[in-house]
Amino acid sequence: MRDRSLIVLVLSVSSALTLGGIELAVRGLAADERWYDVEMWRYAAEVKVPDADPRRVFAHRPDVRTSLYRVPFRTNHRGFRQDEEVADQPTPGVPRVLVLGDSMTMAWGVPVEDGYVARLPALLGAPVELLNTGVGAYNAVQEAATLQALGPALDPDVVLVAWSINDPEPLPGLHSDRPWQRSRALLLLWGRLDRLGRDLDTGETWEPWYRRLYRDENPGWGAALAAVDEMGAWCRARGVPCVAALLPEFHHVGADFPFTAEYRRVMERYRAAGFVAVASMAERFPTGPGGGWWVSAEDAHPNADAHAILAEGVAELLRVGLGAGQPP
Amino acid sequence: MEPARRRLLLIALLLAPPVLFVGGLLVLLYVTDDASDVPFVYAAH
Repeated sequence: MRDRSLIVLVLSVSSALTLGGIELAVRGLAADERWYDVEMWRYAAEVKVPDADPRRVFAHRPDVRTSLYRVPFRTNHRGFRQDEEVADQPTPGVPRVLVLGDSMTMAWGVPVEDGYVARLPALLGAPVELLNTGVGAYNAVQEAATLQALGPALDPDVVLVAWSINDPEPLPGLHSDRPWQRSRALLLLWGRLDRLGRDLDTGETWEPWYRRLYRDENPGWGAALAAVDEMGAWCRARGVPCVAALLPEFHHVGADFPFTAEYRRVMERYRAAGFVAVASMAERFPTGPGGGWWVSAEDAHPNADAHAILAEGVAELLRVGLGAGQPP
Repeated sequence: MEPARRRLLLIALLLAPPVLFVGGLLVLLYVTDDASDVPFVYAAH
């Protein structure tokens, strides 16, 4: 009996010390190792807050000061990921550009100054005020809702919409917040088990996954196109030029970008909705696998070099919106 | 149980959790390390 109690005690103490040690190790290593599941959950838990608008679902918390992937992550008083504050009224003589997009626009995984939005003023060569409303996991419907919510008060001179490959996904929910998710080790474990299960279950890779989003039977596809129409109507009603940049999916880029046909359909819709300049950015990259443009080995968000190329393409579109360039 | 065997058993019990938990996690990390075919998955948030 005494031996059995001792065995239980030794096993319990050893297990507790081991699990505690794993937790501490994961916490210490997560940012350096760029474990996507862990850092993305931290982003959702620390930065996102529910939004009253059911189409927007969530937004950024204002005045966040944190670090994700060991990169400083701050939001301003309005919850935009940018260092500059935004006055109620635009500065006379300085055009105001409202930017709508998701995690790529928000510059996930890179310092804010390396993101394509922050690079635009230097490329445009003229004073411009950029309002980066990008939020991770936003889709086209949430971007349209953001335009409706913020556009009238912010009174932009130009609206820039950034399309991403997963814009036709259904509306995401706000992150769950279960007690076990406070453990980074369990988050990592859960994320990897989920990945393993997905792989064993369907073995579906990125290409068919994304291509399926653009089929007519996917309700999210119709909702995304309706959101494009809605944003175009908003701009036309106010006489505000709207431009759209289609950001690539970074598994494969260049002349044989796998989603050229899908993106062509999206561009046609933007043009029909009255957008004055529309272009796909994928073809601006050298043709081939896109791994070199990734922010980490397991995260296909663009790195700083990719953002620099995106910025050049987006700047061309913005020049048109600002009345200083020809449509591509 | 004689003392020497008892000591061995306790050492084995002490080492079993770290070997199992750390080993299991390392194996899982290894076999799921290549995420190059995985689309953006926002399941975690």
